[in-house]
Amino acid sequence: MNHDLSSRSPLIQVRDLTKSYHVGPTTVSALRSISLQIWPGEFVAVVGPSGSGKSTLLNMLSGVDRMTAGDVLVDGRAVQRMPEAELARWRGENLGIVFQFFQMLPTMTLLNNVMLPMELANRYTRAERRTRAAQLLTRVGLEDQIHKLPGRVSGGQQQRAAIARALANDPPIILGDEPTGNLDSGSAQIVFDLFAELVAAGKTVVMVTQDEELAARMPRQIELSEGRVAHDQGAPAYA
Amino acid sequence: MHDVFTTTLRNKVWFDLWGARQRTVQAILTIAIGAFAVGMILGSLQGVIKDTERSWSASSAPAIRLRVVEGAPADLVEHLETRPDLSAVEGQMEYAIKWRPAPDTPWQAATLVARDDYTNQKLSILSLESGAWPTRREMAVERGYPIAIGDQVELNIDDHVVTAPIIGTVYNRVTLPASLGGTPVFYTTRAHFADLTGRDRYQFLYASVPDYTPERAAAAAAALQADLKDLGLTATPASTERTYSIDPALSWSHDLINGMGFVMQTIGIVTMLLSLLLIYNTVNAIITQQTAQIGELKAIGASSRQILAVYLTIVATYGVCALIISLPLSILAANGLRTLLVTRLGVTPGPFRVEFGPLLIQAAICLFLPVLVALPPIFGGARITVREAINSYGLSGDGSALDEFVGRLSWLSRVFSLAISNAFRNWKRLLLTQLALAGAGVALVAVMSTQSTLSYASRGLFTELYQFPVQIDLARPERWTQLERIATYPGVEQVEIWRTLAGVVKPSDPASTVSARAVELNGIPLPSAAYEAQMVAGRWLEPGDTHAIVLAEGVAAELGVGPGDWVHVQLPAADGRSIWISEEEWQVVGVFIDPNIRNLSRMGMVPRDTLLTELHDGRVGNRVLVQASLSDAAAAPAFANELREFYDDLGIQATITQNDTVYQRSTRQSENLRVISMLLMVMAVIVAAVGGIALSGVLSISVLERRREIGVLRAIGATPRTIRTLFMSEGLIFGWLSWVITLLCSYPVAVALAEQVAATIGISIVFQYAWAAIAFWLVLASVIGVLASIGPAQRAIKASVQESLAYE
Repeated sequence: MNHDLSSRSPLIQVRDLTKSYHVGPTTVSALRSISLQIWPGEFVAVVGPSGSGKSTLLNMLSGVDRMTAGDVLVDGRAVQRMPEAELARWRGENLGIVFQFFQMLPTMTLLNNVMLPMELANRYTRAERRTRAAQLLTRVGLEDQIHKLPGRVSGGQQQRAAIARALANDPPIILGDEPTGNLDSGSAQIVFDLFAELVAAGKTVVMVTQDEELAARMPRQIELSEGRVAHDQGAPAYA
Repeated sequence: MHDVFTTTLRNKVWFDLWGARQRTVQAILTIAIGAFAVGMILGSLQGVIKDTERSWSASSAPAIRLRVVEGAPADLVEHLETRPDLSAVEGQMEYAIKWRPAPDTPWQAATLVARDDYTNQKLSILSLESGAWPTRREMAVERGYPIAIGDQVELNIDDHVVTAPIIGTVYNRVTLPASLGGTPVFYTTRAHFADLTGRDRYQFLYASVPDYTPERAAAAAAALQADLKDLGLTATPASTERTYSIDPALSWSHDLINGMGFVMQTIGIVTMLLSLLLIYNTVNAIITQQTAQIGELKAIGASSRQILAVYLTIVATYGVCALIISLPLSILAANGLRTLLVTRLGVTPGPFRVEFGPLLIQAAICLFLPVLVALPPIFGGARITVREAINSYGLSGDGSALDEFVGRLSWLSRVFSLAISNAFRNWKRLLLTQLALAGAGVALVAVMSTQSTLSYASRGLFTELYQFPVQIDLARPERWTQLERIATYPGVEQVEIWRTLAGVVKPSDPASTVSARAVELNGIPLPSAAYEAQMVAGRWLEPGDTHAIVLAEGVAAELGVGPGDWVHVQLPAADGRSIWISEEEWQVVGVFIDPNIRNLSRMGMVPRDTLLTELHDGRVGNRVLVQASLSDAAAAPAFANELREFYDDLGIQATITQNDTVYQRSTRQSENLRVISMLLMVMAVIVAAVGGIALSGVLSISVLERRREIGVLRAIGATPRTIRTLFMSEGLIFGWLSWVITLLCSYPVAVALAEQVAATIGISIVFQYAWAAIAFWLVLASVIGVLASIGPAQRAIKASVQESLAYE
């Protein structure tokens, strides 16, 4: 996937996306027929109150959860139509996911955590993986911590390592599920700046956040309410 | 506990039980398998003991068993019944005969028996199994042989052949059953016995004493012996122990039952310990997995007592379900195993029944042990702080130095290094798992090694000790020159002549309190080509030895003597009368291995020349060992028959026995030990099953615990195949680690078990380590490792990544 910022075709297309959960006899609608488009190089904030469907939307974009109805097309490919193994490979190569609780594998050093997606995607040579992982960790300011286990570094450092892991296979899209939600304000600022750098470098970043101040600093904000798009501000002019 | 059922906490209990059905089933099965194994083992053991005791007590076994060389007249038996030191007397006529099912089949050894009145027996009672008691011309036969009511068999009595119609089958609880290599016994009337054999006297006298004590029985036997001597009759011991009196409560199979009991109790204890570890591991894993929830419950105001009640209710429910599943199964299995074992021992199994003692133990294992072992982790969980609970949404764990080390191994695949790290992630659980798993491995190898050792004791060891395959015992000593003529018989390569007799041996040391023992003394030529002794201590007999004796390990232990000690040896006169022709001091120069079961053989080896000198016998022998070129071992019995006929033609009377050949002796020994071997194999299967459940339980729970980690791996690009590989690798690491521990620890445990089993049965052994079991455990642990991990991993893969990430 190689995209020009001025490309007129959307990178992510969401059409009539619906997601319902069954909780006992009750059906809960997390997303109600959402449609939206995201263009390459965008830095998008997904905001809304708790339970509005922000994380569910992100899960649909990444294919980690199955939708009830609708379509999600990423670079023209229907996520929901890919079989599980293909979906995993596609995700490894095209998406970088950053979680709120970091989700670093606790028994692997930061270096190995970053190398793992490359190995899973079978990309780069063994030596290249090592060099690249070290470079990515250096890029997020962790050059002195690469042989440490996640439990031995701070939450902010873990989240930076998680961003390095998300970049391991040089994916065009980075999805962040409240990546600053569990960090102090200083660490949150560093992490946000890293995301901004990635956008500047041409990546498409979609970040779920409840931090309105942070969201306001992103060019586009999609606000969800009760599973619907309430507002969509800052979409590119060519949209 | 009341709170749990009256508040909304019951919903949590229900959710934990029903909502996590996979985990619930796993926990219930883990508890159930251990309880089932213990219930089955103890239930069947108790059943076997009761059945054999019931059967034996129904026989009214005598306390005194005498063989009267000249035979006792019928009126003497009636007279003896009036003696105040005897409570009952029974006479039995016996004669060694040959039989065959059809005229064109070879003769086989058998015994002809007659009683005075089969319908009024007092001791060593025979039961009519089917058909009718013998009549004037018709006979009954011991059960278990391929002879049916209505058959006509041929009997050869001193070369006089008669046809005997069979009209009944008889159950004699006192003789070795057909299943253990006994010889057929044909029952007839006294009158018919006299017609056929020309003898109308009782060769055996059985007597009981009022209020049995060993001393009272020994005194009565001595008095009876003296009275018989006054009547000109010679009494020799007729018990399998070669003593005049014997505890009537001891059946011929008591050594075997002791051996079985030891094996079963040992395995029962091992299984119970393994089960305990399994239960602890399972409950501990579940509680560890739920520590966050425990913290959350505390955070919203639950008291420690309420938390305790919730989890104890869950664990108690596992136990109740396990009991419901395991109880009927163990009752069925215990009855099945009991029937199998007692049938093998030649005893009629009792009806289906429930042994309540083992049931109570089983109930305790299911209901109390899980709750007991759950207490430490539950209390530990209750100590978690609210902050720790809130912080536990990410992937938990700190990693260890090992993880850092593995992380630096750049040549290792990240997936495999993750598997290694995960396997060693929780040291406490790893230790407990390996205790259960390697414990099962060690027990399996020990059990199979014991089985191999017993098998070797009854097969390979016989062949190694007895270099000549055929052994012909003679009715009386014959001259060497006559006996050596058999060397001319086609196929015979070498002949060796022994002189054997039952002597009495006791320690010379006047301070010794050990009583004298009857020992089968074998006078052998030096050097002997026919016998290759395996020594336990001291040395073998050498040319030039005179009053040197080498004793079998069991006999030496009974006498409390070893190399260098002196023993007093009494030799009876050749006519069998209890007049000592020789009473000399002999020096024990060595102790050797005798693979025979103790109550069937007590052996001592002495120089033949010295023995013959002491007996004033001249150059005679009564045992001929023959080296022959045979196509296979199984051909030996037929060849022995030919040799016997050769001797018959020379006027030398050879006794017909089922022990003419090494092949027959080893087969008989195998038959005797088969029940133990069979039991050992059953136990091996149980132990392996428990070990398998241990590994599968741990891996299943390990997978369940790491569902969120699986979600993360899938989110960053791991395919289902990668996830499967990861968990299969982890399963293999668990299995292989247990194999390494088994390899390192099993040898001493196996030696100890084999020696203890051998000592209980009363045989000498040459330990055989079961390398096959080591290989088997490697395969089994690998297969279990893969199978146990693949199922739960597959289920985790089927869930969506989001479900895995949200799993708790």
